[in-house]
Amino acid sequence: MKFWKKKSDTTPKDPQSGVSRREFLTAATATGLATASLGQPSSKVQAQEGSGVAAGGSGPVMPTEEQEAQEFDGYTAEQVDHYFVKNPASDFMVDVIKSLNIDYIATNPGSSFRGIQESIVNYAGNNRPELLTVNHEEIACCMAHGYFKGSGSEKVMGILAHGTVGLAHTPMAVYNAFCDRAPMIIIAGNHIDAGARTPSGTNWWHSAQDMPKILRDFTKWDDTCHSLTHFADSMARAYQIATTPPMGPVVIVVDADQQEEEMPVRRPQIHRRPERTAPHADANAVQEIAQWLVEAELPVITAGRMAHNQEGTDLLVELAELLQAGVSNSMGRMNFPNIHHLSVGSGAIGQADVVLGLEVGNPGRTRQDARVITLGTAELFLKTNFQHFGRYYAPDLAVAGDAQATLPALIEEVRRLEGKISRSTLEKRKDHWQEIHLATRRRDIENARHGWDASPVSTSRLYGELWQVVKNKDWAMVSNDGFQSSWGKRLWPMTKYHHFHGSSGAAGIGYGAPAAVGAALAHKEHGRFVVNVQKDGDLMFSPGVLWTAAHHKIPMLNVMHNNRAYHAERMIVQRVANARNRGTAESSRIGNTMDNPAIDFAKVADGLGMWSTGPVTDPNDLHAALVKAVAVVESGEPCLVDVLCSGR
Amino acid sequence: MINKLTNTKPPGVLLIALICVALGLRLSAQTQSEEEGYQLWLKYQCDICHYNQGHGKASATSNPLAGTLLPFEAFSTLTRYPGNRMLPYSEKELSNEDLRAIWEYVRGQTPSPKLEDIPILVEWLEALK
Repeated sequence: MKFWKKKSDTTPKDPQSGVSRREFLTAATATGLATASLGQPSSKVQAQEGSGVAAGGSGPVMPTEEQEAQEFDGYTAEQVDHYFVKNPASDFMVDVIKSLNIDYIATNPGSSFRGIQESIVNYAGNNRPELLTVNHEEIACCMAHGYFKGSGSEKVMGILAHGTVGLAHTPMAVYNAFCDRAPMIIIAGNHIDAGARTPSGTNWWHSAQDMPKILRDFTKWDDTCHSLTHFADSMARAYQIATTPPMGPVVIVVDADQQEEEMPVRRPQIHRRPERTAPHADANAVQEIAQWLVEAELPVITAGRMAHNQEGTDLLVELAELLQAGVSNSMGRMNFPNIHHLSVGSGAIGQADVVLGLEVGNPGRTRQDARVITLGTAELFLKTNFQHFGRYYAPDLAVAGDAQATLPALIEEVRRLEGKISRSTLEKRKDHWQEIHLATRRRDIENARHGWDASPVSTSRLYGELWQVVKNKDWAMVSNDGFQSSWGKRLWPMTKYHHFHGSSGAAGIGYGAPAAVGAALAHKEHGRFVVNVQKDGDLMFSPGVLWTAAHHKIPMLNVMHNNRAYHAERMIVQRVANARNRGTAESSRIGNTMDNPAIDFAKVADGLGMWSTGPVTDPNDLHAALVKAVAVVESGEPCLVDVLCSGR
Repeated sequence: MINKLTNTKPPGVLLIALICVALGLRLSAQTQSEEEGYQLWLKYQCDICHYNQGHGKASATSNPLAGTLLPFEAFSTLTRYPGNRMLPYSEKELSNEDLRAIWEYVRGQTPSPKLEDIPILVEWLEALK
């Protein structure tokens, strides 16, 4: 292992070419990448390196040995060889990461990947990828999860995990992502060669024979790389596997020592990043689905984690309107606008004679005589130990294929057959679903008034006041409101894909806050106003993420739904006590409440460098607090408003 | 004004003072009773579903109780034999005396405002038209 001094900022350049050796190598790399993108092997470029002429003949001239010595502050070639790593292997690794269009890598530092870390900062200028500093690897993975969804399924975040001690902090977050079909690339450092480890101590504690085993039950793929070629190949393969539906996390293990070694003379090829495609359903099956839908008396569509982006939402609207089919959206993703007249609850499934389930494990309660079609990628999972797939449901027609990718073909088929549906039938269906839709909306709005003036603040009032300050903005709600009586989904008009990001996947607590920060990072480049209604119990799993948001200046409005409890569990334990006719007084507080002392979240946020206010207890004070907070967010900073709320 | 000769207060002033004392005592008794009822409300964890002042209607299984017009007997029956909406509080667990205090507390609370008095909700409702 070598230690080297910091590279001089005033690297001398060749007076004739104006290019240093390092710049030459960078340029050569860039040329290699460009060449690769044209379909020519970049190794051709490398093969000519020795001649001092880059491919094409007009590239930079390689510095002489004497010039190279100058670059190293006057050291002789022998001294340079002795002291310095001239062309670190980890620079190449960073080029591989760059080629995959990974803009961010979240990490808590560790020596098993220090080579890559240094290369990101000093070789890549901490730009694409940029390091995000986090206080826990679970935060890193949750951020990656939220970031992917916030980016409209376009961007994958990397995570650098420090050997066993870093990777062992990731599993719950990775399991959430696996269940929620969110890809991420976890790069774990390891000291693979036991002979090269220090005789005892951390090198051993942080190493494993089979590092990815920790996560193998709930990742799509993993590999341990033994060479740079292996790394380049496996990273490209990992990206492709992770981002092909059904998407999911992958793990790549890199050797700590290899990162710090010299690049081999022959630079391995960096692959082109392929255009992603999703598996389409079989054309005959698509025709069959269309036939069933068109012949149906009252078709209903139910959607789970279906839409990958706005296009998916738009396609589902198109299909539903063609058929005037009711759409029950589980909101695993923002599949369908909740104010559309065809947006109905899950009860509609029980009315349908034909049900089309899009990326759902179980379409729900159907009529005995209903014909059920499932279209999704669940069957394309290769293996899983965990039971996330739910109870088996026997559909009448099970079609494997990515639902969004298949929708254009399905729409085309339905259009071809749409003449078979009479105008009066379509009108009748429209009236039917619209009546149900409006009745549900009216009931939700009516119910929101209960406790409107109460203290602690009712959750419906919380969402009502929030709406007042965001309704004229291009907003994104990055939290899930499942523990808040779903007031967000019930009240806020959600029409765009980025208005809602679904749930954690496995209902693993601790996902909310860091996933929200990751999503906010993705929305930052679009200038969207990000709202996170943050559960108190969830935040206490990883409050450090508030610091990460402040440190990286990720604008977002965090509003605490502070009910001082793991409230759902309070309700559950209370019911158990009542059912056993004992301890109905007080017992459900034990183990479930977060009081005595109450947590002062405004102080927590303040201590972590985030503007904050609260706790707000009077609902009439909430608007003013939110107005101040909005100004903070619009100045480019995150903030937190602590609100003492009713349980749900 | 006090009659310095008799050292007595005029009848009118005395009457007002007596009324004030009586009202004050009643108010104090009410406040005490309300506080006791509130503490029992929390003790038996009614707030979990019905919120602190009984306004809760977070889901189909929780009914708003603030300002309830239910007589005690009906309130008691619904608590002891709640059907599917919640699980029962038996007399062994919650005495009639405590239940009455809870009833008195919750029926004394101001009901939630009407929808038409909440502009945000009216705005959403208007949007449906």
